[in-house]
Amino acid sequence: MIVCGYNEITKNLNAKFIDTSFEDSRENYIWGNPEDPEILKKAGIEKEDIIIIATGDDTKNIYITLLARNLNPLINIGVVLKKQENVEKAYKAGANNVLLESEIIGREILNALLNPKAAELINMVMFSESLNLYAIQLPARYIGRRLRDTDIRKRIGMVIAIKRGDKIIKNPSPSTILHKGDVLIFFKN
Amino acid sequence: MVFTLKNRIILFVLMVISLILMGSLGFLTIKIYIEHEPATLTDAVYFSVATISTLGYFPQSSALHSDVGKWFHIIYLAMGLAIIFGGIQTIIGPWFEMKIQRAERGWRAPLPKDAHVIICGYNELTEYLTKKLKMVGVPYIIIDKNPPENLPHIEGNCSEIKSLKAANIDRATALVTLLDEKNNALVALTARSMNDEINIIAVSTSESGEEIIKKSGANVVISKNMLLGKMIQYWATGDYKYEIFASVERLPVKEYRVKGSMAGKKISEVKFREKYGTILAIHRSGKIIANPSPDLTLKSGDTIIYSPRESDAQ
Repeated sequence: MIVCGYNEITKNLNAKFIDTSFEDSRENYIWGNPEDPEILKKAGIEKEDIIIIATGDDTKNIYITLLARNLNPLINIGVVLKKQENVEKAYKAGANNVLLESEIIGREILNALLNPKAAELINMVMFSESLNLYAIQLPARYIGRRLRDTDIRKRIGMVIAIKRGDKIIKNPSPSTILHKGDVLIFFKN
Repeated sequence: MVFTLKNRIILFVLMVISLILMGSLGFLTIKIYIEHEPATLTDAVYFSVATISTLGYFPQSSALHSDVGKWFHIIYLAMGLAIIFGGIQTIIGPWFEMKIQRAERGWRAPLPKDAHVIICGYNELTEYLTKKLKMVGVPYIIIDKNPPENLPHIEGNCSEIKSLKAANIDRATALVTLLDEKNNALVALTARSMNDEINIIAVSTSESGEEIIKKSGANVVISKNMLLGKMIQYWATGDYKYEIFASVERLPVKEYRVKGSMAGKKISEVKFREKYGTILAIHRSGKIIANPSPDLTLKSGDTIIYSPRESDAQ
């Protein structure tokens, strides 16, 4: 993973950073401007499968998105933006996912305002990590049966999601038929 | 006295009334003492109104025939014209001005008085929040030095008692502060000293700031960098937490407060799944019981955290 921009948001990521804000040439730190394709190549963009673009400047970020998409058509590009009006532009430039700062924080504030207890639950899972999710491979004896006809609820707990291939089925209905290879996701208590 | 539009109108009406009274009094005096003719109050008022409105039609009983009377009529007409036309001018001017200003500024929203949310600071986040709050019908007031004209607002500094008082903080349910770290701490301190119950939510940009703002009286502190950092990490590593709880198609989560007949029953007995949705957790006296057993007995005051059934999930 390559990260453009070393800052308060990205500093804990386990990645190769491109920035000019640090002086020491430690391992996994590439000194340079990510707007320079040569620097991106030096970071190995052609072989990487994911790049996070979070320089703190929307215009720069969109430009780097264009460069990155051009250098590697298959790479997964995640961009952090400040302004709503730039979201669509970033997708057009080739981003796979855009994180809009005001939306992520706003959503969190809104949850704390309107559903404070539900927000507490989600925070336990997402941030404080005092509550974990766990996943189990569907045991063979449940294959082909409806969720409601099994004793999964009694024995393990409420299935909050089912991972089926690349898809995640959230809040599966009790009539969902379980397939081979399904991964059941629960809260760990 | 300030000559606002309202005061101008009041003054104008008073002047017209006294003009009519004066004319009527003059008419009666001249009619009775100089012309020695009978006169009624109706004739007198008719004389005044017909003159100042420049109606110009005077029946026999409402006209003055003596020289004194005619001179009085001429002078009275001049006065009437001066007051009516002068007065209308001083009213029409400011009235048009007001109309134009309102059209330019748009409608000035009234301030909510209770059960509202106070938002300190006006920025990208404020815009997001006000849009969403409007959708769910929660009233709000923005406090900022440069507030938006077309939304309910108070111009001022959010950490000042004066501004918070003007925003009816004693009756607000929540306060969201979106300023910088130092100001958020100050706002939390001020707001907490004015309302013990209010739910204070603050944004912070550092870990040390988070603790200080919490100590200042905030109920919830949202650490901006930590939040964004984790979001990137979960997305980048393909953690299914992101897909389930943070993506656009995330699991919707709602709250239901246990009351009435539901209290005292086991989860398996209340058919919650059919009526509302899947129970994710129970919030009981400050603690969260995740993945509750179907045999758990619900108590009054519990909050069920659930994900609504498909049809309710939009």
